[in-house]
Amino acid sequence: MTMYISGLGMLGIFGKGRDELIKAVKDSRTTESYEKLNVDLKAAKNKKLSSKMRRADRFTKMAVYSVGDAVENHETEEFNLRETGVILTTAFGPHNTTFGFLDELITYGEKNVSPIKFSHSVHNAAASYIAQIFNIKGPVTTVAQYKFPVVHAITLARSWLENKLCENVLVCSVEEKGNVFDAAVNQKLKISDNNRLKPINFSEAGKAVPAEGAVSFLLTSAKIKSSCCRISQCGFNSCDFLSTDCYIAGADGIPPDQTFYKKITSNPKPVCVFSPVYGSIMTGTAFDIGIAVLILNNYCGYNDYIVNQAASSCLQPKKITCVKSDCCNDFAAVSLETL
Amino acid sequence: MSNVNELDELREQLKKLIVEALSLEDIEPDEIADDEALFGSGLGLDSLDAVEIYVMLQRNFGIEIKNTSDAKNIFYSIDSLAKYVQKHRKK
Amino acid sequence: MKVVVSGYGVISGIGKDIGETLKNFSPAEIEPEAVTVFDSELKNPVFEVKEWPAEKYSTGQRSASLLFHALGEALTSAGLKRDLKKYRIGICIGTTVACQLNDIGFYENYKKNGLIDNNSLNRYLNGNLAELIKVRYGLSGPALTVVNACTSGADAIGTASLWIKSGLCDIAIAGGADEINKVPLAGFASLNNMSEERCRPFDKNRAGLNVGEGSGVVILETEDHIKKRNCHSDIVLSGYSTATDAYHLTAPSPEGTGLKKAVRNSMKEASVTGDEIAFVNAHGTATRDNDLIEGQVIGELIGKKIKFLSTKGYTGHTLGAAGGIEAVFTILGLKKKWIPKSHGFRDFDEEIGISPVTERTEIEKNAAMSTSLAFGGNNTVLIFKRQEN
Repeated sequence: MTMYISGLGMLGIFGKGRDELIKAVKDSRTTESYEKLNVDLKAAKNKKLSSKMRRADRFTKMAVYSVGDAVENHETEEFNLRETGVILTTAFGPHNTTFGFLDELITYGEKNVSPIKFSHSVHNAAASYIAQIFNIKGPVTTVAQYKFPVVHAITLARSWLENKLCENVLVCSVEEKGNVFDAAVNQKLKISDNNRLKPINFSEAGKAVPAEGAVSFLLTSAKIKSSCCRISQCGFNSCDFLSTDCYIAGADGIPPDQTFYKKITSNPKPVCVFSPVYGSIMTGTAFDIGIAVLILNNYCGYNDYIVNQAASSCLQPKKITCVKSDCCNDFAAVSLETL
Repeated sequence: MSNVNELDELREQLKKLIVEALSLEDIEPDEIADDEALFGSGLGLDSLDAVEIYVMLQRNFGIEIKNTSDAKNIFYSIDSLAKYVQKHRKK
Repeated sequence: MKVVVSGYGVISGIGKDIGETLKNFSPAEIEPEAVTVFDSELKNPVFEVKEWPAEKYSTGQRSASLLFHALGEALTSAGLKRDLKKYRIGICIGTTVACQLNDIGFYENYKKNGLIDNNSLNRYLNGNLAELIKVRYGLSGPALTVVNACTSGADAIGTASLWIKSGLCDIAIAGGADEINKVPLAGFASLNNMSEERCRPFDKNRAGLNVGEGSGVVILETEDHIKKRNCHSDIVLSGYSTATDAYHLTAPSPEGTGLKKAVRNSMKEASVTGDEIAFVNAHGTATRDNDLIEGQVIGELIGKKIKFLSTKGYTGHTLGAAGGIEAVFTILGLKKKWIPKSHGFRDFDEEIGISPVTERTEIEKNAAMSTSLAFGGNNTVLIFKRQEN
């Protein structure tokens, strides 16, 4: 089944929304050029939305703000927000709130912990806020996956649409940054000393630059006014590697094994890597898809991000495939095409 | 210290504690009226805020309120809460 | 397309497998007791899994150990002990605890000494339940861990059935697993909804839940595929629906909006009327709000005379596992043609308006419903049917 991306909301270390991401891509911003590797929630603040989130944590706020952008046209568009489903996908969930709750347990004991902190440490809190704030009454689910969290969520969205569980699906991917996880990443993979991300560097193990952010897509089964591209393919371990004009590889220094990416870069088609713009994030595929949408709609180019010696480059790509590999050489691929 | 002064101070303290514990970002403690309804139509607090206030009272005043049947009246306003705390506080 | 249940397995406080569960449903003598798996100031009774087949337990991975135990039973009953790799098998598992790094020792060590303990970290990073099964059995289908709080297990089963219908896999391993852990225990205490005695679902004087643990796993398969394997199943998953209240983070909608929608949609999909439903295995946590709204919705949409029960009085609330465990209990009811008494219930609550079964009850009809409600306003309904041959 073909799905259409009919709304896009992005929040990352580069800023908020399409325009700030386009600017970051055009200016070739990279992780070492940002002051902080956190999302600036103050700048992203939307009064209408934040008034309904006084108790919410950063994780939830990032999710809600990205959804807000993805559905900004819902009142004038021909899709019904009420009959929309929500799939929130994350690898690690709201871990800062989990640790905050552990602080409560350590400091005050089991009989005296904060119920607000507890209820927000539950993984589906953010999805619950999304449903409440946007008055979404369809199916709402949260999934937590280390391997291909974004592609699994899009695959599930397609199943929902095929089986008519709802008319549209909002796929929201969120990951937050925090001290404990940064220390863990540093111990496991080594964090780059100067915040420099060199994702396709086959001579040495890639180093990660942990960042955070949220991306939301509104997926519709029909083409509507705000549709900006279609998802022609989405799946695991299979991909038509010849028919695409350009690849976006999700190499971001997190899985040390880069065999798959090495194979891809020997391809005659241009292969781009955008992780330096948004950082190392377990749900980074969502940013790649967002950037692919911008390229397909001519908002920005990709030449500065090509990492292979492309035999032929395509100035006006009509089809872009985002690929992500895990540590076991499995891969996931999402192909996007112009309308 | 007289009882009246203590009650005034308690009211101020409770307002600050509530604003902080419940992340009432857009409200200054002194904007909460002493007799304003905390739940429902007044300040708009809900059941999750109520259990958070239980914890706040336990931590700050050593008051165990969980199984009190009269919670609705005690929690009505800052005023009623302050009077209850004054009478039952253990610290 | 028909999705059948070709196998199932369960472990919880009431029994370590199907046989023991059925045996312990009556006379129902297992009592909840204060937690023993960790030191706790909280003395509220819980339903722990006490008896472990030693070889199945991996330290620090209690949820995973529970899961593999139930999975083993499910695969055996599906006739799938060997050669799993030759099938296209998807995995969808619900949990709450297993997806969080809520290891207090690990966190204290980091805070005090700035150290990251590799063992704890590896347990967490290798502990994603769906991925764990995928790796252990070398499976090729989608693998997804669902974290919808207390509907996780039911949603995992529903999600897996959608994958099968969409052709993403031919067989799916689905269900839930969760362990007793300090975080939800203290969390529920802070929300003021934990009982000090055996919980009393749907009772007028219900006073909160008991925390439990366990795992319930079903094997789903297309009817064509099970025939190809020369196996047979008489249980069909014929309805799945999930809808949100969009009301509050911790309280259910007073009108039961989401639950009503999920009940109606699942009945429509399964083509059943209230009169055709043999029984409902309700969520029934024994908290004031849950049981009131759930009981009212069941009475209104299915009928005041419906036979229903909550099995939380036997297992406690097993959180992310509950939907999986109760799906298995629902299947057992259909297969054995009886359901146990709704343990813990004594006094009728007029406000709820219907009472659960108070004794072991024979059932005849061939459709049954399992409802699950969660934090965040999730409501999920599964309908199973027994088909006569």
